[in-house]
Amino acid sequence: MSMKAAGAASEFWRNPQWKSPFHDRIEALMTERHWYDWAGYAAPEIIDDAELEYFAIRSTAALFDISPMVKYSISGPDAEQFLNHLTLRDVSKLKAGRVQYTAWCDDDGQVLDDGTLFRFDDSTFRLCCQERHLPWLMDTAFDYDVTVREETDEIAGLALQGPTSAALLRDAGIDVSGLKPFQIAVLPKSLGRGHISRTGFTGDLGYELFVDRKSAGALWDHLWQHGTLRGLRAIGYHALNIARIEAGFIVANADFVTSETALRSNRPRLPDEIGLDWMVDLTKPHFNGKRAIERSRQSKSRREVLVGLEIEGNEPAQHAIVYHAKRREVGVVTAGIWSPTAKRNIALACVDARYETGDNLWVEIYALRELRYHKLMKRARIVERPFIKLPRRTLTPPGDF
Amino acid sequence: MKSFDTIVIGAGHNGMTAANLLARRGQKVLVLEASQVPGGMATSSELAPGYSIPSIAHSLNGLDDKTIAALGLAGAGLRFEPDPLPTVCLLPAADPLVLPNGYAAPIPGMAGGDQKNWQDLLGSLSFQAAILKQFIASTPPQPRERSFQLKAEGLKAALKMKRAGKSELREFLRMVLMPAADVVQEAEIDRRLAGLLSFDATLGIAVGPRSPTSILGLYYRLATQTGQPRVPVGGMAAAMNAFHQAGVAAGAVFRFGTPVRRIVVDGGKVTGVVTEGGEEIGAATVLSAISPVATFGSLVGSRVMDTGIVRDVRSIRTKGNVTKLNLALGLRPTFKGAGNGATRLVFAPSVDDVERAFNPSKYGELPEAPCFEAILSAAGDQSVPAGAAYLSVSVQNTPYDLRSGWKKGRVALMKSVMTRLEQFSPGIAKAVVAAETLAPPDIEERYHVPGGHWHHGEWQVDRLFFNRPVFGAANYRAPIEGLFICGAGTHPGGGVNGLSGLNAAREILGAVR
Repeated sequence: MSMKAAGAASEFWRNPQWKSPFHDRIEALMTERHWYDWAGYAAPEIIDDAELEYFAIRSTAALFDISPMVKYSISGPDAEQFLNHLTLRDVSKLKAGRVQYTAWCDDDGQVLDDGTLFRFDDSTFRLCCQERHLPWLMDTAFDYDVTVREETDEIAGLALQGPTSAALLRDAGIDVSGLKPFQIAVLPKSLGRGHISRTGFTGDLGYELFVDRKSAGALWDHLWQHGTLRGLRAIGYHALNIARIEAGFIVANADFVTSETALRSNRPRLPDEIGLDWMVDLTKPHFNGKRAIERSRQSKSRREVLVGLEIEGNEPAQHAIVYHAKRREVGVVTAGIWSPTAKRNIALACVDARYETGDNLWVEIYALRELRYHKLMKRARIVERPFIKLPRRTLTPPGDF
Repeated sequence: MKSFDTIVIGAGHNGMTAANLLARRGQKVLVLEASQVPGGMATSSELAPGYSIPSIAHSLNGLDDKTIAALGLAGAGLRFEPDPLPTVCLLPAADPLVLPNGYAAPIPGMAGGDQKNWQDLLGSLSFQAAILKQFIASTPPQPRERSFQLKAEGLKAALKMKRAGKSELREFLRMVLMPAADVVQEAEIDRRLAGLLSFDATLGIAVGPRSPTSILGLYYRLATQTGQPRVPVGGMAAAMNAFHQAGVAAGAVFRFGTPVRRIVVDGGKVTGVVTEGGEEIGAATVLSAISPVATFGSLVGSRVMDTGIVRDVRSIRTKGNVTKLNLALGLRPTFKGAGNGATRLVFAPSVDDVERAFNPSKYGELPEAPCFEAILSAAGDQSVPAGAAYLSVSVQNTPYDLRSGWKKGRVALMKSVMTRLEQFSPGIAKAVVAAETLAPPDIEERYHVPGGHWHHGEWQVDRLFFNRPVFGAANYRAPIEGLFICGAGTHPGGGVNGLSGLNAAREILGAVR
């Protein structure tokens, strides 16, 4: 990757974070000045008001910069075979112009990352994910006629999410009325070289737009201009995180530890241990980790499961310990919030597989009240994910709000 | 389609060892060999009419009596020369140092103090090597799957040392990864012997005596070459024919001139092989006794393997650094210190000389004064015409990637070795009837071993034991059901000892039971 984004290389050390193509526009809106590090980029945690940002996702429209997402261009005659070797799902079933949520594993069947795979045509793909994997991709590709290239800093990305997003796009001259979930369309040429897909991380009606870096600023301005009457608001990760937990989505290295980043040998997880068992396609002749996953299923060696919890009370259970019968420690909450839309106290948790269906689960929440901890032992129930299901997410044509 | 219980790819001595044992246990075994003769890199070939000269390996030092009995090799005609193989250390401007029976016997004419230091060092190295032998002769435990076994084996070895005295264990842990040069220096042995040990520790491995861990090569030599050094009657070809005949007697079927094109894998399981001729032969078990890099890279292919192991296999350092010079001689040359029997000649006068010969190899260059060992055939050896002889020379530190190219390199190397030999046996150059130079790229081509390495892959600490050839396949099982591997690239390594074939056969029998 070039350091173009970082400005003069000699000054990079002063603030060793890359700037996304939308950085200046976000900075201008930002009153909270709350940045965090996303894969080496400065990314906004909160722009001005986390609650209003959340409600923009659910009530109007929200604009979230996804440029820091790691992106690989994968193309060539063997691209499909290569991706079938790499990932868990059957890529031959992914049609051109569609997106597949997928994951990939190492030799031991331990998840390296999850991500979205975009298929533009027979032999051209883009893989988007959280962690960097170029050496792994190159080593997997070595016997295939395929070109793998990281394009993270060449492609700018914006997630436009929320009930008014389709109407906003129509106003902006982008017709998405026929676009079904996980479908891709080409952006009008006037907006630059790029694509729009009906995808997102909110469980709401929403779209993701990808354009070449040089067209990024104009695209933001164009959407912003048409967003005024549609309640468009720029948002940070804090708001997005609430929405994604409600939607039941997991985040690598938050809800599970990826195989390459884990320091402790017992931390990486099989797909079956983090709720990705449905992705594993054992009818494929081969893919990385297949043998290990098959063996683990045969020997029933799955140690943990990832579950959705509904917890009594309203105190978020972030990182709380999960107990069985209030005594035996059986897991940990990886993400816990009070859900403003479900009006329930919800959480994602890693739990000992033996308690997957068991009841009598409890979480111990330490609530800090003016320098004194209140230890709360709260009843937890395993519930279906997602925690909220919005019909507008999948309705085609989308609603005109 | 014909079908067998096990197909063995490669009739090298390890492949033949495994085939023999599997057939003895009632399996239907087929051995497929690319060349027309058995033995792989351990056979002889006709260099000139009437001259049968060891192609690469030239002694059977590692083959022990238990293996010989288990394979029925004596019944198949394997015989050894009765006289021990003496080692003659060639020294510039001095009389040679003669070891009448390898490291085994006292050295005639050596002063008492030097003699004692030599015996003391050998005693302690041999004691430690004997403990390593239990690891060498069995399948390495897999740390992930059978940690109990690993602990048990480690504990057993530690106990054995502890019983011998508490300092023995400490001494072993101190010495095991030392540079060979430091071991011989602190033992204060005679500098000529120090040169010999430095050479023996590093021959066939890309290290010099001052490289850390270089003592490991000596442990391996001592652990696999117990007893007397042995020369088979009739040469290496006769020994390999005995392996072949013993295999046939055990019931294995051999097909020569039948290279394998690929190993057929279906749904993660082996179903057989396809030969270069296009014939498909079925088997639920395939044992590939060739280079693991060739097995995984060419016969299996990375498309049916996981990325991690493909990455590991690709990182095996396969580039050989030993060149074989084979000389057919019209007359048996005389070397001071050598008698009428077969003799091992070593040119490695001191630690410095061995280290200096190693240095240029790091930069793709040939040594100015190469160190080498050579086997001079016995007077009256039947594998050469009457009155004639062969000299089979292994020259170390001759890198695969020679910067100046091997076309020039072959000529230069032959010239510098001949000049050296001429120094010790004037007139030898004139006696040469035929000569061949097998540099690592030649070995690669002739024996289908990527890199042309003796050990199929560097025999260094990062690629030993449960990391040989790679972590996850060191128990002779490839990560594909029914596919097993053995040969020099697997644990314990190269040398003509049959150990990897023995271990792999045991694993196959254990898996099908």
